[in-house]
Amino acid sequence: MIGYRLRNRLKEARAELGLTQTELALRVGVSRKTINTVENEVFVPSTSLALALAAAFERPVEALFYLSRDED
Amino acid sequence: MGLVMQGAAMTENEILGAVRRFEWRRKVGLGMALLGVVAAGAVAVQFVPGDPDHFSKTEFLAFGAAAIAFIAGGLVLMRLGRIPADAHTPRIAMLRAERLQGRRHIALMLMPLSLGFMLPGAIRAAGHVADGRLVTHIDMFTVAAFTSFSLLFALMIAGRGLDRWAKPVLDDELSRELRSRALAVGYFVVLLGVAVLFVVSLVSRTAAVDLIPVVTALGVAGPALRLFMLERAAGAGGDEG
Repeated sequence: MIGYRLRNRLKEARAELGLTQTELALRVGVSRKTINTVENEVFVPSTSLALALAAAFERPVEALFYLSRDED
Repeated sequence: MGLVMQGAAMTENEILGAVRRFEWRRKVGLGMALLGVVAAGAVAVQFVPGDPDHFSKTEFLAFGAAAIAFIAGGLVLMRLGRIPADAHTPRIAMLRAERLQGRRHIALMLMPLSLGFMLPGAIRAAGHVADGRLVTHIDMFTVAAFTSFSLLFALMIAGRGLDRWAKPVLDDELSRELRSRALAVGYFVVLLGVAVLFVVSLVSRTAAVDLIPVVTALGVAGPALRLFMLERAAGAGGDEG
């Protein structure tokens, strides 16, 4: 979507549960690199991955992902 | 994490060490079996008519025996190198897959180089066919080796033929995205190369023909290098524990 950017609170959510990237990756069934790039907002996850991440934290997807206005 | 393997509790590092030994056995077995296939191929091409330079009876028997011995020995070693079921936990699988990914990156960087070395031989052999000259056994072998190696490279870069345990790491959403970005680089390089070849051919047809291997090599090496860089960048800045 033009003018918006997908942001996330994955790192904070992971820290709250005391999970490492590998542990979260194992829960979701993806690689550690995928978790790393999603957290760093280098990679925009698909809807199914976003939902799987939300399910892993037992939170609604909007609690993890949100849109913010692109400043650039 | 204590897992039980071969009757005793083992730590994660011990399991990975044991798995490494099994993997080595399997790799040596695979190498032997492939050597056997090469020897069998050398024997098989003797039945192709056209080239008068055939094996002597002794060479034929020696290569045949070597083919059987290497294939049988290789298969036995591969059978002995099967990873124990106890090592198939998700975490061990992920650690193994990440290690495999590192090795695949090195292979992806080296394979275009090997293809580059093999390309002139394959073009020469194809030229023999085009000119209607006698196709030697070496020509057949060169073309077969180049084709097999190219196919293997294509399978690797497309992420095909992976074991099920490695798929979550080597064929997940991110990997597919990075591969498609890398392949787009190859597509762009080849399109640009074709345009350059066209312009060069207007000036010198021979120079354009000489440039074809360079364009092909760049089209193969470009995606491999790009994939290596993208994968490395994706792993940077993690907080692994």
